[in-house]
Amino acid sequence: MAMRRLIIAVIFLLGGLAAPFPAHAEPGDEAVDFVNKFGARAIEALTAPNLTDQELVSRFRTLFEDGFDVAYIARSSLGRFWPRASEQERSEFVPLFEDYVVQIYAIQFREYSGEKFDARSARALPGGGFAVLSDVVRPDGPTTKMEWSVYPVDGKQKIRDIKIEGVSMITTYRDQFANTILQSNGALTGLMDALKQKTAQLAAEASG
Amino acid sequence: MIFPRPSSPNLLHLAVVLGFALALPGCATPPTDPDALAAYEEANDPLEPMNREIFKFNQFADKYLIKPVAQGYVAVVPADGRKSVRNFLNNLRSPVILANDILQGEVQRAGTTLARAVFNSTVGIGGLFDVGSGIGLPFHDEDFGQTLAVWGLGEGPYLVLPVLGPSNPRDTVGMVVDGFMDPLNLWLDHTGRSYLIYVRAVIDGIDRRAQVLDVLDELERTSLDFYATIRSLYRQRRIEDIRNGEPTEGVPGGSNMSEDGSPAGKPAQAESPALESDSVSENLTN
Repeated sequence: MAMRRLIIAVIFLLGGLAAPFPAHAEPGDEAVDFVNKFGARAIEALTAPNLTDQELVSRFRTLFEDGFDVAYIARSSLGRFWPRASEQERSEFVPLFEDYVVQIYAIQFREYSGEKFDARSARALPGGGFAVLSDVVRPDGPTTKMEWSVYPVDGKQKIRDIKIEGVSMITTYRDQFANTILQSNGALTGLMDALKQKTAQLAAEASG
Repeated sequence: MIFPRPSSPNLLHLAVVLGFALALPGCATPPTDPDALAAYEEANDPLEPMNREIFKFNQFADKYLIKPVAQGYVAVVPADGRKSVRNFLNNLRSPVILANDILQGEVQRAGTTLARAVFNSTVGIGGLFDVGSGIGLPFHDEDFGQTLAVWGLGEGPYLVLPVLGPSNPRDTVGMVVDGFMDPLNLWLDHTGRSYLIYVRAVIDGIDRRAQVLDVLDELERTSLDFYATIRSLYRQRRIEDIRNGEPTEGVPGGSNMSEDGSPAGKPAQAESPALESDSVSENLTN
């Protein structure tokens, strides 16, 4: 999926949106508002001129930790292998996962090419969350449907998942990780090693 | 969207697939560990060793033939031209989309497809311009694989087809049926111009590949295992296509996701009683 480009596009254009909300507040408005404001903040921080790769990664990490429910995303991405993981394995996995995700997406903010974002609405999700719906219009491609799952977590709005044309970030990670775990006969160490290795490789490519 | 989905398959393709299938290593051995076994079953890929070999072949063909051609296409044909090519191909596909809309009982979508075909073939100069989208009749695709799914047929095991890429028995059959129900194909075949069926399929494939040049590069670069990523994306996309984009509930998570490892139904699940995409898949396909 064009996950990175779309995220960039969405966040970038969210920044320019700042649309006024209807006078009568709908239940999902808060979630839509959150996505808009978070996007504006992200784009300001990540497209500032003359950022080094290190600064970019560090800024992205701050935004990711602030705007996303990282703990939830990490354990959902581990799926059925989370409950059987030891405390030690869990506390090792979550930061490795975060490093991997941050490394993938941060550097992508260097590239952005004219996508337009059109926020539409929010739909209630079970458990008190909202799916904020948006269209991403690419200049030379089809319109893409994007959905942000936003939940209140400890009194703050947090993004738990992003779905692009039905492709969920969490499901994609979970399928990938399960595959890697299966290849190491059900052991988590194989996944941890693979994450470390991939993150290091991506970091090296970014700085090289 | 991501995957080349040729609109004009034929028996030759099937023969090639079968030839490959017979010549390659077969089934994977299911794990014994219960969680590993469940994950193995979720992946729905008992033919993984064979599929991976075909995937490798496809990557080879992509690297040295398909991708360079798609890059050339992007380099030579300007964006507006490519858009017209896509519009034209989409319009040619209208009869197949319309038939599948009807077979799925989607009256409104069938009406949209019909109206689009009329407007785009006339005002849109033979389909080169998508005037339908501009007047509230956006394009949607349908295929017989989706129709079979709507009728309740399961997807069967994941399959990687040579050159054509990710599929499954249901979608492979659907693709062949679509090819045979396409009136343009039938006409070309009966008038001795069946080579044009291939020309159309090749152009369609190049255009689809061109649309995902950056995306696939990026996925390959960042994936732990590109094969597993593509498998996941294909299956998620098909579920989305079959549902016609109707929303699913919640965030993937649900059972087995609680912080303390407690079983499903505990507070962690209540926090996010997700309908997992896998269970959606089962509902749709079993």
